[in-house]
Formats: sequence, C-alpha cells, structure tokens
Amino acid sequence: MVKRIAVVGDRGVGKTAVALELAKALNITLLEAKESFLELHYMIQGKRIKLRDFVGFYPEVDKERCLRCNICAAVCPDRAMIRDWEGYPYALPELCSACTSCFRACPEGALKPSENVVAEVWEIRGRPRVVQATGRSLKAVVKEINEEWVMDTDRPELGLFSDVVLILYDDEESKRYAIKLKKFYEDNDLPALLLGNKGYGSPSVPRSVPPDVRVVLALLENF
Amino acid sequence: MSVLVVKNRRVKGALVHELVRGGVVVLVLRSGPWPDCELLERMELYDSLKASIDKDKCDGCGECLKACTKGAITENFRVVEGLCEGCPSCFYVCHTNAIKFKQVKGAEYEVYSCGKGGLVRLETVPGAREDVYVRSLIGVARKLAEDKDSPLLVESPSFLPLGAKKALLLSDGSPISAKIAEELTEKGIEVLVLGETWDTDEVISWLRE
Repeated sequence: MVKRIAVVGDRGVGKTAVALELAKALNITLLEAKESFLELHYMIQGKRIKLRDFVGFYPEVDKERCLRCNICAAVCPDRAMIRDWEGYPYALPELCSACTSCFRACPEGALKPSENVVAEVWEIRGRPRVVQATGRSLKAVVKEINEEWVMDTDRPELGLFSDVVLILYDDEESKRYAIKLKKFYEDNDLPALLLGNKGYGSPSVPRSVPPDVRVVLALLENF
Repeated sequence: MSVLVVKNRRVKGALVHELVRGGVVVLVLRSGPWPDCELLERMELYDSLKASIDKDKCDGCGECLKACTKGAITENFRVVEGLCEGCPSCFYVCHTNAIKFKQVKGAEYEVYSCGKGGLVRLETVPGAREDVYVRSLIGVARKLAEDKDSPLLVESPSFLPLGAKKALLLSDGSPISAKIAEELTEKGIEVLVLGETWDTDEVISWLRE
C-alpha cells in the first residue's frame, strides 16, 4: 500500500470529501494544499494552530545601483516584477514565490533580500489530523512534509510529490480535464487513477452522505 | 474588472454564455467550445522554461538540489518537468555548467467576438501556473472589453481575487460557499452570490456599475 496519495481534479468534483474519507480510513494525515482558500477548518472539529510561516526572500531595489535594465523582470518565472513610473523594478509580494532568481541575475547587485511570507502552514488536531498549507510557494512546503498523507489540492503539480494520484471527475468537462491530467502524470512517470465520482454539486447526492471510498481503497491495494 | 469565482462549475457554462450574449467580455478557463462566436485570434504561449541536467557534465555536487525552491530535482539529479518553473536558481549554482533550458508550451488562448460581448478562453498545460497566465491575459481581455465597450469579467483560478473590487460567486449552496463569500467581503470586495438561477440583465447591470 502506498504512503502518499494525492487527490486532484476539476472544481466541485468532491476532492475534499474523498480525501477526508481516505485519510480517515487509512488513519493518516490529511494535507490540504491550496493557493488561496482553505476549507477543512470549517469541516473538522479540533484545535487549530499555526505551525509556521514559510519565509522566503523577496527583492527590494536599491535605486542608486539599479540600471533599469529589466533583466530581473525577464528572468522572473512568477512575472512578479513590474516597473514604477520612473522605470525602476519592484516585485509584487503577492506574486513573488521567492525563487531568488532575480538576485542572481542582477548585473549590478542592486537587489537586496527582504523577508516575505510565501506560505503559511496550519495544523488541526482532530480526527483525522490535518495539515493545511496555503500561499505562493506550496511546492517548498509539501516537499518538506515527510510523513504519510492524503493530499487534497487544486494544484495538479503538487501531485508529483505523491506515490499515486487519484484523479476525480463527474461530467464530460471534468472528464476531459481528468484525461489531460492523467497524461501529465504519466509524462512525469507517476501512476494515476481515473475515478468517476458523483460530485457534491449534483442534486442527487445529499451533502450529508460521505462518499464511499471502499472502491478507491481496493484500487490502491495494487500499488 | 470583476472576478468570477466558481464553486458550482455545473452552471458556469450557461452563465458565461448568457453574459457574453448580453454584452460582457469574459476571460474564461478551459470551458468550451463556443460555436456561436467568431474566432478572432488563437495563440500558443511558449514562454515556459524547463531545466534539464546534462549527465556528462554533472559531477553530482548537489548544489542544484539545495538551490531549487520547487523540489523539482531528484536525488539522482533528474529534473521533474512538471515541478520545474524555469527559474534559473539551479543554473546559477552549477559550477560545471550542466544545466540547460528548453522552452515548452505553457498555455494557449483564443479570442472570440460574440455579438455585443466577447470571450478570451485560456487553457494552460497542467503544472503551468494558471494564475500567472490569467494575470498576463487580463490586458488582452481588457482591450477586447474596451473595443466592445463592455464590462470585463475574469474567471479566477482557485479563489484568488486578482486585485478586482467586485466578485461574482457561483455558489453551490454549501456552507463553504458562504465562507468564501465572507472571506472575500473581509478583503473589501463587493460580492454578488448566484445560485442555480439568476436574472441575466440584473447581473450585467451590476457588472456595469
């Protein structure tokens, strides 16, 4: 049986509900990794504490040394570098993921590192135990969580930190997306399972009924 | 500009269709095709870089592994392409010059004219940073909206407000949808919540305000 399982798919296909039931059944940590809106603390009883802020370095421009060459903006993978009205670059903290590319690229050494919180990590002491990560730099956070987990995420690339990925879909549109995701994982040498799920948005499935994960557990036995 | 926050994906297609016909420009993610609309432009964006390690040059010093903030380099010095974002962190620390970059497709987009309104449809490659592409296409969508003299609605990847002052929330009626509305309101954003049905004219006049 695998140790790390990621649950991915389009919006509203029931990722959170399925991941929650899997974590309960396997009795391992439920990891919620989302860029902007965490929801498990609204669903699970338990004391919620902040484990840590993930701090990265974000560039500040020394205007006396800056040549306004714009190389920093050209290398920025987050496109976080924009220019002020004088043509000096500045980084938008909400876009910067603190990869530090710009510091190394600057020919004049005009960028000074300044601390910026790029992700937050929370823990809910409930059943199951939940770790929540949110922010711009989720890859760095997920990489460091060295334990068994079931991950509920809306960022498909985070699935690459798992041993097997479960891709959910519930209609034609989400199925097309699921097939694209499957190809993405296979290109990255990771096994992926496609699973049709009755999402919670459909009127035929009441919200109070948790999804049956016995089928999923049986499938995972093969890995 | 307003953002479209989708919790209930099932009604998104119908809403976007009605809004566009009523004279709104929408930047939409993935959904389609849009047969009633006239295709103006199709572009592929090849600006995403991926690193690779030249095995012949690599001496296994491990500096790149430490430098990579994305966890994209494995213990045996292979780059996991889906995780690499193309920042040159590894390149700068490599003393044997073993890191090479290649350009790959990151996204494609189409611009449509649909009567009074219009559409910009964005589809990113899995693993590409969707929010970065959305932000860079807002300019294209804004130009279309100016040409059409229409309000602009941008679909948000996940639940990011993207700097907008107004958000249209497609709710699935769950308590979580209510919490999303609450969190957006706390950030000073005016939220209009739509359920399974809506009055299209009212929505459009709210977007125009």
